[in-house]
Amino acid sequence: MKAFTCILGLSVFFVSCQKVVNLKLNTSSSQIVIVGKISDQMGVDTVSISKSVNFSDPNVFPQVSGAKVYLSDNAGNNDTLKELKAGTYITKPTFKGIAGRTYTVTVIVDGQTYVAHSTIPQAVAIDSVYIGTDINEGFGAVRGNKEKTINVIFKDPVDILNFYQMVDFINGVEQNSNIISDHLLDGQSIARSIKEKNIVVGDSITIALECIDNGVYEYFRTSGRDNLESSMPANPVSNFNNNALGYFNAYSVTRKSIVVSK
Amino acid sequence: MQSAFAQQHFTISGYIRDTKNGEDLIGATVIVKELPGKGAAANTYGFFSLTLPAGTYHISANFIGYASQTQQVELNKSMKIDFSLSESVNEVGEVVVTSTRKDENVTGTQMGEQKLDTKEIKNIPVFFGERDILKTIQLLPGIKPVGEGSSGFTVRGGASDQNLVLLDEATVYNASHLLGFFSVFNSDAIKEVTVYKGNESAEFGGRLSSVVDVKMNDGNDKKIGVSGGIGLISSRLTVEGPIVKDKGSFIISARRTYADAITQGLYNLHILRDTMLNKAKLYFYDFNVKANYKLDDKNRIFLSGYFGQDDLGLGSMFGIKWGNATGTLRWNHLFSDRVFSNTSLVFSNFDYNINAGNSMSIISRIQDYGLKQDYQFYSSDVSTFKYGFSSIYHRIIPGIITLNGSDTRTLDNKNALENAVYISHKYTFTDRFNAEYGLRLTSFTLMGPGTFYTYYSDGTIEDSSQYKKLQSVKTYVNLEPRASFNYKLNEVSSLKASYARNTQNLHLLSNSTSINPRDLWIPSSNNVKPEIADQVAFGYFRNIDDNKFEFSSEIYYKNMQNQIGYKNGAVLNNNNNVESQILFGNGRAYGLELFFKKKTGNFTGWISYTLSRTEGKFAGLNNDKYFPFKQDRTHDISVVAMYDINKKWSVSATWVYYTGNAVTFPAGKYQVDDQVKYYITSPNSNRMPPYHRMDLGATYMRKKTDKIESSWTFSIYNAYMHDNAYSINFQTDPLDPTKTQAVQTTLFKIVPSVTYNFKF
Repeated sequence: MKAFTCILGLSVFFVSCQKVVNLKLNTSSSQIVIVGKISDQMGVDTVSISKSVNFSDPNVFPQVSGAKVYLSDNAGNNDTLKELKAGTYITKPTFKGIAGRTYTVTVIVDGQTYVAHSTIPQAVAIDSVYIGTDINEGFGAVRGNKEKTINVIFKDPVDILNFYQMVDFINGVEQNSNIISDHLLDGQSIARSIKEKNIVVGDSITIALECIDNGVYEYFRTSGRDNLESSMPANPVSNFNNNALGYFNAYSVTRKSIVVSK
Repeated sequence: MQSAFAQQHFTISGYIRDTKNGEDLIGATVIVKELPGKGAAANTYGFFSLTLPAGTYHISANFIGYASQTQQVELNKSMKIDFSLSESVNEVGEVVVTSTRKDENVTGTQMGEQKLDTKEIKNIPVFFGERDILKTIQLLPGIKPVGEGSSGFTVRGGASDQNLVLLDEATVYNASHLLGFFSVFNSDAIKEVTVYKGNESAEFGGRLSSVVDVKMNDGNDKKIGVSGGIGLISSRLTVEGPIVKDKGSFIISARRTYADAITQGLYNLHILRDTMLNKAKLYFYDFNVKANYKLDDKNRIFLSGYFGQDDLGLGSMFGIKWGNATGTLRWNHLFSDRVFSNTSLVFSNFDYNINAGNSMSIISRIQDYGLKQDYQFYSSDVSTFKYGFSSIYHRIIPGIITLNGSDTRTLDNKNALENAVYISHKYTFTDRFNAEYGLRLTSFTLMGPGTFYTYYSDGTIEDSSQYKKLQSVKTYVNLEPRASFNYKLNEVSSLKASYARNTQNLHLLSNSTSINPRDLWIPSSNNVKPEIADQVAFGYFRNIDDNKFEFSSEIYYKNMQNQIGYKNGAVLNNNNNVESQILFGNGRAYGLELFFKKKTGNFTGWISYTLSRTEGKFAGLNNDKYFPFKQDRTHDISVVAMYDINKKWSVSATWVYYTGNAVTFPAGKYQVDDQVKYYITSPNSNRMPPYHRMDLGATYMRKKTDKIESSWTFSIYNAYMHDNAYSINFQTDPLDPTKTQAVQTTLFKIVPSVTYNFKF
């Protein structure tokens, strides 16, 4: 036992530690950031335009006013978006994307034009959502802490490349989103577990399953933090041209809600 | 005219071995007192051959750390002389006087070569109680660790897959355990390691940057011996002995770590609460086995093998096992006292097996089956030829993926044949000028069966063709000239120059900054061209104070073609079209290496300094301009000091300093979906903070007799507790969401360790 205590004493030193450091970082000129999202649900859809700042600046991102924003589709429809407030441009409330159509957003700021295309895939229904208790293992799980998981099952359509973004809401508040590709899973029943710490009985859980196109999936995939740590890092792959940051996502969505009962 | 009066020449040949255990003394030298400058060095099997005019000579055999031995010979016919040398016992305060010069540093042609004997470094401070030869070589100039505590290394600016790691001639594809914190080499089983930094002679080939040639011990052919060590997280045991006394021997070494047993104990005692630790598996074990037997004076066979396995897992959720297995069967044959031959059959395997619960498993494997034939012809006292061929069949199974226990998908297997023929000549032109030059001709053929694709530049498939079994898909032939020259300025100093071309046909795809067993080996193909490096080097070598100190300085420039880069967000795992995810470019590396070593006495050690740069240029990256590779480090300093205080105690210290790796930090930030994202401009244009660390070690010899030996080894890693950056992450300040901050993670603050070693 004495020897064991000795080993224990030594082990304490192994624990890694973290601290905040001051680094001299590069600076960059302000970059245009465009985030556009339109769905197959009727309602107002939004395109936001802002600018980047230097790392040492506060998290205040200049919103871009006075831009011209156009939305069109490959069926010949055109629309000009209206500036709701600085940097936020909206469609008409009757706008509804159609699955199978390719949408094009065109943004003109300071004489520079930025264009992105995105195609709305066919929607995929969620088969079931249920709450599981306690997967008491895995990184970060703590003994005695009964965590709940949200389990989602849906069937991937056969022979089509599918890409998904799954978003979970607790009592209407967005929590997390995960992207899924059907690479290796084509045509299968896909099950996913989402771990959420703060679920209690009576909570309303909603899962939104967005079907996104390949370009948008690539954006989400390459915008993870891993990319900064790779040996040849780069900015996320945007579907906008002219080096605009951000993305334009035309998607279809299905939802399923449950109430946590036990 | 002269030939009419020419004296007859005869050959002295034999073996040089250790008296106590019969181990071959690789590189031991034989010199002739009456003919200064004439001599020979023992090859990897301890064999030497020296042809001299008839006469009476005093021949002495020498090896560092051993007392030299002299025999008088009446050379009137060719003869065999075997030497057995005893380790010199170093009394404190006594100056060991050796009658011979240990001046290979100045006289040899070889450049960019570093040799370490495991005995020479036995007192160096260790990490987690494990002596590790791959970490020790990182203290030499031009060889740098890939990261904190890592056994992975880069040589002269090359990538870590550009090092050929050989264990008794078999390629070791993944030389690390526990994600790099330990190497696969159990130092109890290892005799010595030689690193050639790109200027190797024509007998080696296959990687751009270096060859790390690791030789296992042969085993004691005099008596049975047992040795081992018990440490905090690992233990090891070695048994060796004669098969038939003085004719053959065997050695078996095994070790096992038990870090997980400790973390589990802490969990059971409620000291650590993270349940991960209860379910976590994290260990490795390995075995080294070797046997040799002398059939007669002319024939000897060796069988050596390695098997190791890592096991990392989290309960039933996730598990990964990986490991190497190698085997070599060798036959030494003496055609005459001047022609030495070795024939090797070589097998190597690396595989991993991943389980993600019941839903998915992946098996991946790379295998080599090889035949190698080498000849050494000692044609005269000034001329030695080495020639031979090798043929290796590579089989790569990138992944067999099983989903939900039944549905199996297989990524296309790759088969390739790699052949080489070489000749190398070592020749002493004059007393002052000698050279070694040679040629290596290699061919690499990628073969069917399978479907092979071509791609458009955006990565989509352009075309595909089917190939039958053994049908050639693509063949590359390369001629690799090698040469090194030595011009002696005087008895104590020389100038050297060398040139070498190396090619590489197996490439490791690794886009992360750490060692990962899942990194994928791919062969050269219709899309991937062989990597080619041309390296020139110049050096000045000097020995000081009767060879007690040696100094070397080298400068090198290396141009690298067909280097592999990665497209943005490249998908390297589980991807049948992985060749569509990579980019090709050029690299260049250059530097200055200084090395100063004290070899003898109670106080030994060295100082090494490297000033270097390594850069790459890839179409579409960094506006097509050169940018630093991640392993680029401007300055790199290592200081090693070992001191024998008395018979009981010896102490040691190492200190390292190097410029931080080239990394990419944000040059700006922006907001997407209420999250702060980081904007980057040019790749690898930032630096990690400089790294420095001191390690201390002490060995207490509790008991040392002829029969039994026991000692304690104490080490402290990072003794002055410097916070070295393992990684730096960027995040929103948890206390003030309007700000962002950089957070540095330090992996090892200070790591003390103690190991008990025994031998009887």
